[in-house]
Amino acid sequence: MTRNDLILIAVLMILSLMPLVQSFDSGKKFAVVKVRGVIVREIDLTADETFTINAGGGENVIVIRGGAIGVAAADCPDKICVRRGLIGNVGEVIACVPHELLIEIASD
Amino acid sequence: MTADALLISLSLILFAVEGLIPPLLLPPGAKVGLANVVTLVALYLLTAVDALIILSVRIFLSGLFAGSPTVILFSVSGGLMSLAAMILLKRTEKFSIVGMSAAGGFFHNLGQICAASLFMSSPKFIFYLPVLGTCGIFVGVLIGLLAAEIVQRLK
Repeated sequence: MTRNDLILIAVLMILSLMPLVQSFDSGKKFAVVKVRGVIVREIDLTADETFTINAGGGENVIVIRGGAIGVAAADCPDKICVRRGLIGNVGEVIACVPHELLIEIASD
Repeated sequence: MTADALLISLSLILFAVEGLIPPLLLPPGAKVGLANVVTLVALYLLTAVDALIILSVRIFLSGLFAGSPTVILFSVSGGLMSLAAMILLKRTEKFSIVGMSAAGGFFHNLGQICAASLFMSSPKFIFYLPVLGTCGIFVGVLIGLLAAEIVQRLK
């Protein structure tokens, strides 16, 4: 590894962390659930809840717990959405690409 | 041509072997990308065109074996962005194989984030970058060290 490599790696690290520099908006948080780009539900994260969404070709069990939302179970092949765990900060996303399901945390 | 074919087979084997290892240590969506060793070695010992052929055929075939059209779409955007970055860095002749590989890992994940943003029509995927970008750099360095060792022994 050369000096130039280290500089390059440092620059890339800074680029990676750039999205963290965002305005911390203090509005009310809510989760948006989309299937194929269409909003199917907007959920206030204050009440704990579990429900099932039948997305394109499969089902995702969505759980809301302690102000955060996550996918508890899914019948997609990769389970990346389940492994992502719970999200609760504005801007965070969970995607289940095989089912074209998207959960975003937004604020008003 | 024969070398290309051999390297394509080798990269497919690496891809399959990696699929057998449970992804416990990396965050969701991140991969080690063992097959990128082959791309790097091709870039050094053959030409950029060979690397492009090997990468494209590998993505197409691995997609056929293991994936769906969406998986191919993600691999193509990640793979091409990564290869383009590595070719450009190699042209400057200022970086070693480790730096190139680190950039390759970063741009691979950036390419996938772009594909996800377009596919799911949401720009929010960029918030995955702090995790996926740094992971890409980290595994890129490891893959680069491995590739450096291989290139040295093959020369």
